[in-house]
Formats: sequence, structure tokens, C-alpha cells
Amino acid sequence: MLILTRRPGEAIRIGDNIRVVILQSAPGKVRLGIEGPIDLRILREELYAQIRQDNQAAVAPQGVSLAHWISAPAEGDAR
Amino acid sequence: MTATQQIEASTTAALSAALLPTRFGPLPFQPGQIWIAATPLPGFESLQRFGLISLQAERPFVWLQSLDDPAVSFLLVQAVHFGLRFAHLPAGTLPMVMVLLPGQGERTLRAHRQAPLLFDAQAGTLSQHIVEADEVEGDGVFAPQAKAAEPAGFAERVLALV
Repeated sequence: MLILTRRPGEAIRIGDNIRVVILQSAPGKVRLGIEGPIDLRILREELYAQIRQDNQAAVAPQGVSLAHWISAPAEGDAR
Repeated sequence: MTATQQIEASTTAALSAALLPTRFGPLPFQPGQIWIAATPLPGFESLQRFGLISLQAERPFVWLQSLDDPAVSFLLVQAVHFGLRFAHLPAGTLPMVMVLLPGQGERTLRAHRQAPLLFDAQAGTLSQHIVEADEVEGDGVFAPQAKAAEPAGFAERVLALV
């Protein structure tokens, strides 16, 4: 892992088109600004981990019956 | 089209279809019915090719089947069926959500609301659009009769089974 020390207002570049700026730092917290291509996926790591877990939970088991949901789900029965 | 031309066309289509394993057994996918993951699905980074399978009796649900791993399939429905709206979606894409089936003791269908799958029928690609909780609006109540629309060219990319 590359470790760099930066101060507020300073930045680092990743490749040719990603720029990470230190906007603010305080004890226990740092605020970052990230500039990059619009199609670059930038996520908080804990959100990515949550989505990864939810995706794996969404794999459908075999033998699923959807009849109940298609025919007549009760009002407010599906949230 | 003459009868001979119809036979030739169906024969050509049959020859160009690839018989691929799915949760429903081997199914013939035309090249245009194979969706490519433009960005990897978190948790399934090695899977690139997917098929959409629609069973007439299960509409509005559709199945997203991995064509790289037949054991991996997801139940999807258009986001509108859960009343979900997302900001800043790329034009021309169709947002669908993974459906989480009720577990033991549960009675409700839930949507994977922070990570809709966006289908680009023109490009034949799908990608997962991950949003923060405050970037999605809607009550999340499943409404099978909600009015849904599909972008041009989408239906042709779905393998429809009767």
C-alpha cells in the first residue's frame, strides 16, 4: 500500500484523470473531494460491501413459486 | 415472405442460437439476447454474460440468468412495480430491481432498492447503479399492476417462454 501525507487543499492524482483533494481534516475524520470520469464508480466501502452482500442474498433458490405475488398480494403486504 | 423463406429464416435463427444451461434447463439464446455486464456485479465479479428470461405466467417478473454460471439467477422486476424512482439515470436505460423473496417467517417481497440494474437495450449491456439511501424515492410496496414501459428494442433481447 502506498502511503502519502497530505494537508487540506493538497491533492493526489491517480492515473491521468482521477484527482483526490483533501478538503478538510479533523480528529477522526477527513473530507475528500474526488474528480474523475462520470462513469467511474466511486462508493463508500461499507456501501459496496452491503450491496455485495445483498446481491449474494438475492440469488434465487430453485423451486420458487411466484403465484401468490402475481395473483393477489394483499395491500401493504409487500414492502 | 414465402414458406421457403420462412423455413430458411427459422433455420438460420436456430443455427445462430446458443443452447446454454439455465435454471430452467438448456435454453436457446440468440446472440442479441446475451447481455454483457458493463461493470462487474459486486459479489459476482467473474460473471459477464447474462440472459433475461420471461415466463408468461410469471409476468411482470423476469429472470436474470448468468450464462457463465447456471446456478446464479436473480428474480427481477421493473423498479416501477415497487414504486421506486432514481435520480440521474442514463437516458434510454430501463431500471429493474432484484427481488428478495421472503425468508422463513416473512410475508413480504422486498426490492434491492439501493442497487437497480440498468439495461441498455441499444448496447446490449447491463450495469448495477448503486445509490445512497437518500438517492432513491418511493414506498417500496410491490404493485404487480403498476404501469410499466419498456424502451425500444428491449423485448427482442428477452427470451420469452410460454
